[in-house]
Amino acid sequence: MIDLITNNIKEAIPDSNVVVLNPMNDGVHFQAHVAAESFRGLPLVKQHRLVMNSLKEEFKELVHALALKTYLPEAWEEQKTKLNL
Amino acid sequence: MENDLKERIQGYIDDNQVMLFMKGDKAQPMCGFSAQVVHILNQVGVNYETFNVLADPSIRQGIKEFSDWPTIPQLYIKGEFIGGCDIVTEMFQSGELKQALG
Repeated sequence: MIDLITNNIKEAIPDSNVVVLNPMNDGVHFQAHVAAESFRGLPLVKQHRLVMNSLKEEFKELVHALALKTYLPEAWEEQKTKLNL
Repeated sequence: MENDLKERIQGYIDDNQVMLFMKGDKAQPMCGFSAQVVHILNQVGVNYETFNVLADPSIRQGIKEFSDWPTIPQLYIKGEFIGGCDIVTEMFQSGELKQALG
């Protein structure tokens, strides 16, 4: 499932760096960190919409929730260290 | 999407400055993410109305199409789609939510 989510996001946002986690280890609650240059200038809601809509089908059954954080590339390096990714 | 459904949803949004589409209600949210948004709105101390999508399958599906957003909860402020739990939380922490409500 992590691979499927990662691939869907990358397909929707080709310039993105994507890290998907399953913090509760339950296979239905996921966490995604997504960084992309294409987020620049977009309001947060539009950044999230790009990611969330790439998983429309999955949300119907397979995925209960995706906790999402989006970043611009320059914030991403710092964040990766912080999150220990 | 059918027009009468669209109009119903628009009606809720137009009639309420702060409108939350959620699972369950204020007193008894039926999902952790809906609960978190309720908690934040309570903490901000704003008046808001909720719609329980679990009680109405047509709105439960319709709101996703209406907002172009695949998950519940969904928050509207003054007619504008704000987002789901993550965005509301981020905006609460940064103070933007209070600004949007002001």
